[in-house]
Amino acid sequence: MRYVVIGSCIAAMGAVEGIRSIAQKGSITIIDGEQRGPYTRPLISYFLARPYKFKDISYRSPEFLAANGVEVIKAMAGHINRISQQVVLDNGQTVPYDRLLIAAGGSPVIPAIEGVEAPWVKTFYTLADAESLHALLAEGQNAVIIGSGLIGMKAAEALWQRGLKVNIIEKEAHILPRIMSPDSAAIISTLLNGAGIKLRCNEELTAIRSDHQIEFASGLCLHADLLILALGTRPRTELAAECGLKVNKGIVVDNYLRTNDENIFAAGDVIESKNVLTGENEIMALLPQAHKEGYLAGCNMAGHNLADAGGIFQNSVNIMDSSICSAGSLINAKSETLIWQQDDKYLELFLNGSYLSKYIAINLPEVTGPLTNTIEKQVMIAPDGWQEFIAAPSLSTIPSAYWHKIGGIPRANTWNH
Amino acid sequence: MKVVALPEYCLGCGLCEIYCAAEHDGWNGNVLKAFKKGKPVNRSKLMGSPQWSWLNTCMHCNDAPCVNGCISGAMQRDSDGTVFVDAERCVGCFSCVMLCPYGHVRPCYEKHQVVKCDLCREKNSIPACVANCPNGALQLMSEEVNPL
Ligand SMILES: Cc1cc2nc3c(=O)[nH]c(=O)nc-3n(C[C@H](O)[C@H](O)[C@H](O)COP(=O)(O)OP(=O)(O)OC[C@H]3O[C@@H](n4cnc5c(N)ncnc54)[C@H](O)[C@@H]3O)c2cc1C
Repeated sequence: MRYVVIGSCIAAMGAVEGIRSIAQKGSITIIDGEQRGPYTRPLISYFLARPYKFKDISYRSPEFLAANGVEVIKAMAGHINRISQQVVLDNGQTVPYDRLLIAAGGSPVIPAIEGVEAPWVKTFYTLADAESLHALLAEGQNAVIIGSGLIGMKAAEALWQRGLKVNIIEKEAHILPRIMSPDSAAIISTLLNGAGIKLRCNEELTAIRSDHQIEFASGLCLHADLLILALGTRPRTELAAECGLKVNKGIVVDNYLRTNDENIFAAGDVIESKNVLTGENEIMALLPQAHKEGYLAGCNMAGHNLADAGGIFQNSVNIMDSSICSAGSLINAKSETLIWQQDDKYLELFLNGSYLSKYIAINLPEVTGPLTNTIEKQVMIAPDGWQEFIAAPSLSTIPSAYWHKIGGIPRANTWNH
Repeated sequence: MKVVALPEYCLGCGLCEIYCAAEHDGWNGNVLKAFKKGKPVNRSKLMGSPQWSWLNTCMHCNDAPCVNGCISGAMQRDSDGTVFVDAERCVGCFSCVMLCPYGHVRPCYEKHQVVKCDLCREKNSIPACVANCPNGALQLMSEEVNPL
């Protein structure tokens, strides 16, 4: 059996682990278009902030690849021939497969405006992006970041740590619009402002001028030595679409991560995944999800039939030494919200009757594991359980219905203390 | 393998936390030295209320969400099935904390990392918490766990 994987990052490594959990035999060939080995994208901001400390941001080691008998080809896949079951590389070489996984990830959205090609205009998506920023930047420069999603925020933080003057521009009414509520975003905004990072919301980029002036729809004009475009990402579906695989926003797969070609699977940021809360297929672009999908796809490529239940949006990120964890979706505009706040800690719960659908936690990561799992597994907990929890959120006040559900742990003690 | 807490026998004395802390970070189980000279960090944490208590330890789950969701590759499983965190690689993003159904993986703010039970894998004998529980409230078991 010849297993071939296009892409060599998170989903690809999950697939190697999945395949080898079942089949020790069979060759695994990875086509690494980026030619940087299996590295972890989230750590490029760590590299940019402290390049000497984070020289190595590999996700799996060369020993891991060797131990699993993985052959790596450093080239881009240019075409998939489904009839002859071959991947044609950009250099003309062909790689035959019995089972193929497309784990090509995504790419940053670039707006269709003039000036995006200028050398001081960058995206923040690859290790090469981070390296070129590292080579280009100088302390005291003015950096403008367009987009305050997680990628924009991590880029902003790294540039601030390198001594640049940082401006973050957001089109929506508050920062981190897909994760945060207005109240929670205000806490992070205050923190960023306190560090001297300037935020401007409700501003839409319209022009990038060659004299380093950036124009916005409102008439605002800013000077930028460096401009970072962090407007979101989209799946790299070209390869799949071109060979006739079903593509919607991302590659369409069934519950077994199989495309409409029975020998071709897809996983990670390149596919649409099922959001278990909404039942809808969405682009989730999350590392845990990419690894899990890769793993399951690998198992299924090796002959198993493991269904992917889907996932939920979830993120844990530290910005300026503050921890932000969030999971779930707002599935009902009329959700009840419960808020707790103390010093620099904040917790907001969004309830739909007896179900938690989303939470936002600032500087309170220690309670979030059970909360994430409550959402993902849709554990039913009576609203008064949440009322008691929110009065003093801690692991010990997580509603006992949750602990009963996950099995076993605390039962009432027979000892009297 | 995993340590299972038996709340019906737990006295809430906290010796488990003390021996856990002294077993890690190079203190080699020397409680006196660890607590006199340093600030040892316990991995497992005693939980509960005045009515009951139990040690929150790692289930070393089969499809461990912490291993799956680790963004740096620090959270790993060794050949014995023990889930442990490689301190060299942990960047303290707390993704594993957010994903652990048991609330076991904890942030360690001083180190900008996370800590969790590693079954005292460097000690090569039974975990310190089990060995030092005075009332048999902790047992080492081999039953496998799938989260929820
Ligand atoms: C700055 C940043 C921070 C992030 N932080 C977080 C975070 O904190 N938490 C989180 O959950 N997620 C985070 N993410 C998202 C996370 O990185 C992705 O979800 C994850 O990398 C997806 O893995 P993947 O394997 O699907 O795709 P990728 O990691 O994108 O890997 C795909 C690889 O395939 C290669 N490829 C594409 N086309 C071809 C081709 N034709 N031939 C050969 N190779 C090809 C690409 O070059 C790439 O190397 C972050 C992303 C960025 C950019």
